Amino acid sequence: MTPSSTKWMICGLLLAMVLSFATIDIPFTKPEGWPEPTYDFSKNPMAAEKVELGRQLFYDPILSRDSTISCSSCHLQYTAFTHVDHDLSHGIDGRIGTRNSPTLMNLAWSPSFMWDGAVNHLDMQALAPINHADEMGEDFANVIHKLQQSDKYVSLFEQAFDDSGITGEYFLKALSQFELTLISANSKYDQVLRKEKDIAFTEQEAKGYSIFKTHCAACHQEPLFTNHQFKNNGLPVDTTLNDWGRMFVTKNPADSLKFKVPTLRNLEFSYPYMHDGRFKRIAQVVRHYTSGIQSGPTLAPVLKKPIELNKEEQIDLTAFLLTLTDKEFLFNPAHSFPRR
Amino acid sequence: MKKLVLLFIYLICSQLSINAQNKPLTINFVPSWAGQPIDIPSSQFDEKNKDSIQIESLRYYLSNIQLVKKNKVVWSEQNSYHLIDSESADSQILKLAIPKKIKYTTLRFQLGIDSTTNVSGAMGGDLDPTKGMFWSWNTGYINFKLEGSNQRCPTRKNQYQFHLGGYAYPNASIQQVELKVVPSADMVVGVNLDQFFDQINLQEQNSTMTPGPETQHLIQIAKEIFNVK
Ligand code: HEC
Ligand code: HEC
Repeated sequence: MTPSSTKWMICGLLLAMVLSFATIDIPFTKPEGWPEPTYDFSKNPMAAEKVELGRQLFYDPILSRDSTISCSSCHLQYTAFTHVDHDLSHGIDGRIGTRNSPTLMNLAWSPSFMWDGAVNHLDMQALAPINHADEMGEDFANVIHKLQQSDKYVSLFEQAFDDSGITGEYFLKALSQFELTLISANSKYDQVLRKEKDIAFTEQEAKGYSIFKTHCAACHQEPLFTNHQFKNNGLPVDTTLNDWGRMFVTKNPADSLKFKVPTLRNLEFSYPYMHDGRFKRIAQVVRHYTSGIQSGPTLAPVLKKPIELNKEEQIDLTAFLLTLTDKEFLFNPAHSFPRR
Repeated sequence: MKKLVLLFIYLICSQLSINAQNKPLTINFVPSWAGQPIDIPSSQFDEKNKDSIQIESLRYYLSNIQLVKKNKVVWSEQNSYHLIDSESADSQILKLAIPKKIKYTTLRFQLGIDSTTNVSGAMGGDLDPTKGMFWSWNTGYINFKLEGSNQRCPTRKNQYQFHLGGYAYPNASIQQVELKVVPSADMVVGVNLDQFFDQINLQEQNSTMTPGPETQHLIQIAKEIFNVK
């Protein structure tokens, strides 16, 4: 070995060491082949202590007025962080909100939040449930005040943000960090696409995949299974709720009945479906797209032509949708209730 | 290494010399009624309607403060975001430092928070969402907030609440204010609330809480109430 190549080797080793240390401290890794995230990490650099603080906050009912409800009351890990079995999310005093809680996954790629996109940044999202009388019924400044009285949180915030002090900014950033780690990218679908050893679609799943690409992928775009746009997918309006979706934000009639295209990952466990949770089973959703589309001035053009699928094709499509289940994500202990 | 030390010394010295060439400028924002300063909360007589208007609180954001001469910006404050709150006397007095030899004729600032800041996530200081100046549903900063009561308001407890904000097209509500000033170390900017109430009808306009055309109309009235005697 020449002296100069030894030098290079040492340099390389040092570099590798630095890089490996760097990845220990950064719990955010972009899955192979995915687009760049939209979340601006430079304003909130990831750190293990911040993620842990965010996790504690996510699971702590101290965030609600009467300390009965935490974020996880409506966003449960085993159901891809949605509220299972309730169509409309239940909040404080048993009041019923007007919308179904969405799954929380791959949020680093979302440009807007809520079914109508009313929230412009992940950091600011938590203010909505905390301040909303039907959900957690608490005042944000008071939540911060309560945390300031807690020895546990004083020390957790100190570890996470070393210039210490508990502020609204730090609270929101820590909560975001935990949510940003909720990445689901290891379903059978992902493994097949990564060409992992001994993994392949069954014939039925493969047929379903091609049906999906023809009829669904325009909106439920791979690999996130959403294009993050607002569309009217032909659901008749529920007259007990009169929820006009995106129009609430833009006040533009052209946005009436448009809702954010949701991801379809972990669909098997995230029922009930749609913004108001009107469908309990995947078969009902498929039936909606094949025979339930209601026409109207804002209906998405791609859905104007009926989607014709026979019984068998519907089953194929469903089989494909079930390959989006990511058990590793749903049971990842790093995302669950912090026991300590 | 020597070079680094020199650079360091140079940087410290240049920092010091900049400071040495600066002078203080304080701007005091004083709520007033019919030309007289008032302390909020306050009850004021409305000449036009012959009744009294209760003013409970007045809070607004000022940003991007600049000094201007002949339409040229001669100084602008870095990271310029201020929440002015009638309940905190300190917040109403801005303490700035400007270059000693500067000449200017106009004070310019934005009433409200720019759209980039509105979509940049959680922030601290005066922009911390615990300040109660951030909408959690349909997110964005509230640029101007005025609350109180008057018997003409057909609302609960006769309350009026003006929460004026919105940053996205077509409902952007940030306003630029320009005031002719005579250079001085202590400036006083009056915030003439009587002028605001003169131009609205409390019977019809009393609760504005979302971005939209009404908000834009009201904040254009609000932008005119700042003046320098
Ligand atoms: C009472 C039930 C409830 C509670 C408690 C709750 N949420 Fe939600 N969450 C919802 C509902 C319902 C929506 C959708 C609201 C809408 O679209 O208007 C939602 C939406 C979200 C979204 C947006 C997801 C997306 O893709 O658009 C995030 C992120 C979120 N919640 C996080 C949280 C966090 C963090 C907390 C705790 C501070 C929390 N939620 C507490 C019911 C709840
Ligand atoms: C024009 C765009 C568009 C197309 C094409 C489309 N969807 Fe959707 N999809 C949406 C929107 C928008 C929603 C949310 C609607 C709502 O809740 O009001 C949605 C919701 C869903 C949901 C509910 C997910 C949840 O978590 O609640 C499922 C499942 C679904 N779509 C499956 C499909 C399938 C399968 C296809 C193809 C047959 C398809 N979609 C085609 C736009 C589309």
